[in-house]
Amino acid sequence: MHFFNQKMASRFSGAVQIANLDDFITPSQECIKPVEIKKDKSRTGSKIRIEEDGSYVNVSGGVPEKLARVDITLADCLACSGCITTAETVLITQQSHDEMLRVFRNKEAENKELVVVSLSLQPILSLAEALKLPHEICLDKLCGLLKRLGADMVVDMGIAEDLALIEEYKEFTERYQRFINGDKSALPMLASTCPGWVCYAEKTKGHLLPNLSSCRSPQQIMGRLIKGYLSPQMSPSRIYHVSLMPCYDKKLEASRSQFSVEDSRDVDCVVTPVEIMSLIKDVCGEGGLQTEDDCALDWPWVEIEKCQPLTRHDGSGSGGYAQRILSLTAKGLEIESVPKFENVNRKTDMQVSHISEKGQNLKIAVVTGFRNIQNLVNKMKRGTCDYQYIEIMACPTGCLNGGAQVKGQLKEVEKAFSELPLRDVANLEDLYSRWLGASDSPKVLQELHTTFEAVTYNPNPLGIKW
Amino acid sequence: MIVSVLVFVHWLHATAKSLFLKPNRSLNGVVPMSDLNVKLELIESLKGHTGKVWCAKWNASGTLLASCGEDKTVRLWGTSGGQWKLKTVLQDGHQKTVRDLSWSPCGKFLATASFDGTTAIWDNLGGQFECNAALEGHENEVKSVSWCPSGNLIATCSRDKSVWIWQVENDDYDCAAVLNAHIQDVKKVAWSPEGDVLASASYDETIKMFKEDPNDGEWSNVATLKSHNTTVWSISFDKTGTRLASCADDGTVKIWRQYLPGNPEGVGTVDNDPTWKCVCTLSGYHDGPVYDIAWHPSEDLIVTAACDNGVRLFRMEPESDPNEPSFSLVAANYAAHSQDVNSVKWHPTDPKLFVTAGDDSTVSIWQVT
Repeated sequence: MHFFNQKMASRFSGAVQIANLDDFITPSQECIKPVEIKKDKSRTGSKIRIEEDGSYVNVSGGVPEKLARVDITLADCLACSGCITTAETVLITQQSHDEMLRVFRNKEAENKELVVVSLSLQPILSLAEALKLPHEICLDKLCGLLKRLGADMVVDMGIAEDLALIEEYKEFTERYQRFINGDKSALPMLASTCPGWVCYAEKTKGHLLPNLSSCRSPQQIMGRLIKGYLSPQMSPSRIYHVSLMPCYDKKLEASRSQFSVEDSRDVDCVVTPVEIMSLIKDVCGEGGLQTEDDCALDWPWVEIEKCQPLTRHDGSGSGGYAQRILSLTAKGLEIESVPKFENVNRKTDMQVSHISEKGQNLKIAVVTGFRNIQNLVNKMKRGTCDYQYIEIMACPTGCLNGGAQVKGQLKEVEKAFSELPLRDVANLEDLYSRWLGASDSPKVLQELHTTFEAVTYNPNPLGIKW
Repeated sequence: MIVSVLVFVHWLHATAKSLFLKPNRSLNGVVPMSDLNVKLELIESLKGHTGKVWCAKWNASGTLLASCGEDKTVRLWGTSGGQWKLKTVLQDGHQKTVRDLSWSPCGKFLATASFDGTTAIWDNLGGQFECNAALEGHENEVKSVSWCPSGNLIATCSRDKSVWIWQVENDDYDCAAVLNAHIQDVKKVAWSPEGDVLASASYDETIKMFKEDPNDGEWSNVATLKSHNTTVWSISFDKTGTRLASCADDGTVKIWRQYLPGNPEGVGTVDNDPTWKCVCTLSGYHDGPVYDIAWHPSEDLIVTAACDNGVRLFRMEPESDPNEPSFSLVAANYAAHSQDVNSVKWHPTDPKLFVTAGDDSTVSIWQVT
């Protein structure tokens, strides 16, 4: 599920065991992207000359014609875990901190009017631990650094996380109602914020896609907020939006066609803690991040209750989806003591809670890591899955252990996370009405939800190795 | 030790310059069958499969023999009137070639691994064998399957480079581990007789050992055995689990010995895990890849199945140093099958019998006399 994890992580060999790398989905050997060749039907054969620069020129017609190179884009790789090196090369050119810097430095040439960086929580904790800085200071210095390098605005992703939680619970209650009314296919509902899991489901578990939550992930909700709401008069292509995420697969998510408007991606570039560490090395000089100026986060959301940075929702380090659905469901049933999540099989990578009061029999689970996902999908296939909502994350134990977090410090990051102040989901009715009309308007579906598509492919038989 | 094997071979060679069965070979390991004191007698030749037969194995009591192959079927053979006869053909469990099979220790279940990417579980709880479960998860061809001696775990491996461990509980199969230690196609998995160690052999030229951490139940790679320079096709533990035989694409067979921490021989160990050291290499005997190897259930006898159509029996010299053992060829049939021999397995209770399966669509039962 982690297309880029293994290679990237190999730089941190000591960390591999802690990150439990064995549990990640690894890429297969061959690229199965079928190469489309544009053919002129009138001709039966052609002569191709290879130029010194390696380009191909068709010389069979009168005028030599330079042939297009076959490019495999990151979006193609969404359909395939086949070629780690190709995908990585594309990644490095399309969504790397070097590319981010290039755009930062050439805003005018790139026709960018506004450069926004959105920060998610997990990477800040990871960077603070790696740099041995208190996380408040790390956040301020990181803002300062990004501003110095060219960002016009640095924002916290908390508002998008809240919207994601609100939409997730709304969808659950709607599905639960359908389930009670006899539509047994409405549940279980499977979280879809983890792009590694989504990509895996689309590739190999097409039959499960109707169970996936249609809510966009916080990164992609943030993308709509920045490109669709923040400055409606500005063309989306004139905004350059970078997000800092704990996971390489978020780069794949940002590249999905569903998340582009007018050929402009809602998130143009995803960077990760591992890349920020190398950026700091490149641009901060010997003093490191500490030498940067302090700078506070921007809050461009006029008249909307400010969300405190460096606070967390109750529950998992992956957003707390299961915990919120459990708490609100229990509250709705007027159950006083909300049941706790218990580890399954002594392990922290799979947890279940059970509401068995008031005639209810609801099971809500947190399932992380490839092995547990396998068992879950097999249970669903056999019809023995008795969970109604499942928070699924590809990385073992979830996003604090994201594939692009700095390795070897998971315990410390988990501890820092657990010590953060809790916050409730903000009241965002105003935002809904200003941006989308109302919380139940059709625009909500359009801006805050998405669709999935099963990917089918025929492996090239010549590529099979025995 | 290699020297001692070669000396022995040369001695054999010198004392018998008589007819070679395949005379165009220049291998010094080709000893005329007539010169070997132990004989292999073909006692049954079972036909029925179409295409290659990939594997044939007896159940734990030795009463049923299962074979599988390219024709996507599994055939069960039993004795009647002293002869092995086809009992059942299991069909429709797999969409592609059935590459390997493994009986549960209780004999009620049979696991079959297929190129269709699944491992099917057949059981005879209803009186006859039926496919009642499929283990799905491998991305592509499953190459090998092995039921652990206690019956509660199943290991599988695949071209997708991974080794999976499945937990068996009340007819339910949960994935207990996905081990991505190999960097290439994994060809074979085998449990130690105690069932505490899983070994795997790969196209990446290594053999890896896996063990469960009793504290957290996590499986991890505890040893990597490097000495072969080509694909390791198969592996087999001895009855104690302290030695392992492996066979490779370049025709070599290697014997590995386990050295525990603090061993008197002074072989270094890491992290309190045992070290596995190659203590013997048998080269020059096989003309091409050796596809399977089986350590005798009670004696220091090893039988090999090779692409040169041959089956060979090696015995450890009883007097040889366990740290540098010598093995000598004691019996062979260089035309055991008319095409590649893919699999060889000992009978679980009759120490004289073994079974081979080959590309010639045949399953053969042999008696050592």
